[in-house]
Amino acid sequence: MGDVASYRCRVMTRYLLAAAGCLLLLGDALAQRRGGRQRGLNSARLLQRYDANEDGKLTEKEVPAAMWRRLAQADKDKDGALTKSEMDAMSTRGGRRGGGETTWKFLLGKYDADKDGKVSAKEYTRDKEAFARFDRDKDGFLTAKDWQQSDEQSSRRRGGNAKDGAPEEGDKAPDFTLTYVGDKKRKATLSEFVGKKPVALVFGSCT
Amino acid sequence: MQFYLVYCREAHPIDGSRPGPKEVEDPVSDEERRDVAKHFVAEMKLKLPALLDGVDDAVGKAYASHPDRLYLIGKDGRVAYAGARGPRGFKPRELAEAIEDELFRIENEPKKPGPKKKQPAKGKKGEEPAKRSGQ
Repeated sequence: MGDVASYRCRVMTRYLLAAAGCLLLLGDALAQRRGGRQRGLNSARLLQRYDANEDGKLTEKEVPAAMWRRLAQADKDKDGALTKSEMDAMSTRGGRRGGGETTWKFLLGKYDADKDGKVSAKEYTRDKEAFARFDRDKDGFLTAKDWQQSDEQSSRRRGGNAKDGAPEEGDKAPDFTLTYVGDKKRKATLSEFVGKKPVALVFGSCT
Repeated sequence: MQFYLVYCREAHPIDGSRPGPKEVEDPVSDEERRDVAKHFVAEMKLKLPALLDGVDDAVGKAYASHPDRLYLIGKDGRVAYAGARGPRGFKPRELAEAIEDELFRIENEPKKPGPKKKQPAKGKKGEEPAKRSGQ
């Protein structure tokens, strides 16, 4: 029984990690884009690798399912096929690294109720702390200038990869109790697994 | 073997200093983060049980998990594998190998002898063992 359980566990492990790998393959491509040297999804490389019928487009059948779920958002004309230009457009949607025009346009579109080209504290309905953080020149409004300053500051912060204080192998794992995403009444505590079974933790977010 | 996705702080929210292509604002409350996480889990059709780190990022900070990271916690409660900081350090294959090593170690760990059964107190023949007080 133990062998069967162990085998099933290994098969499940490989399945889950293969799925995670597919997700991360695209994630890594996005990360490289943000890294500066190679901006964008590298549509040419994706086409070279996955365009099986060489028609210059990628379809759901040609790429891994997990990758398609991410790529599908670039399919602006909803024809089920991604052209190079659609992928390139997705690649540059984020605008310049570090704040940028896209973010500013998004906030302006969402919060600028009186359409005066700036967002007041009253219009920004989410969070006062966030407003204060974004309002870099402290003039009481969010303006395009605040985002330009954000760009400059973040570009100064770039570089370096200091030790981050992560626990190392052999360390006692920091304990926690967290709620389930889908059920805030249900909780999981890491230390309850001690002596019972190992736990794999995959940290991440959707962005 | 237990797997958990721990949904933590957004790596590239649209209103952050390094925005990504998704139009997701950085959540300012646990419930906002829960909504974003729920949407993400549904969108990606994830089967992993997903846990939510609060907006205080307490667990994320303890594991230095930002923006993404992999860990394996051994059966003994110690870190068996600590991946490097993502996305470049996010290597599922390394985690898979660490899991196989850990399972192998568990399968081959010497079994501890079970607790010895207490022998009933010997009394004279025909006599019942003395009962403990309070029983």
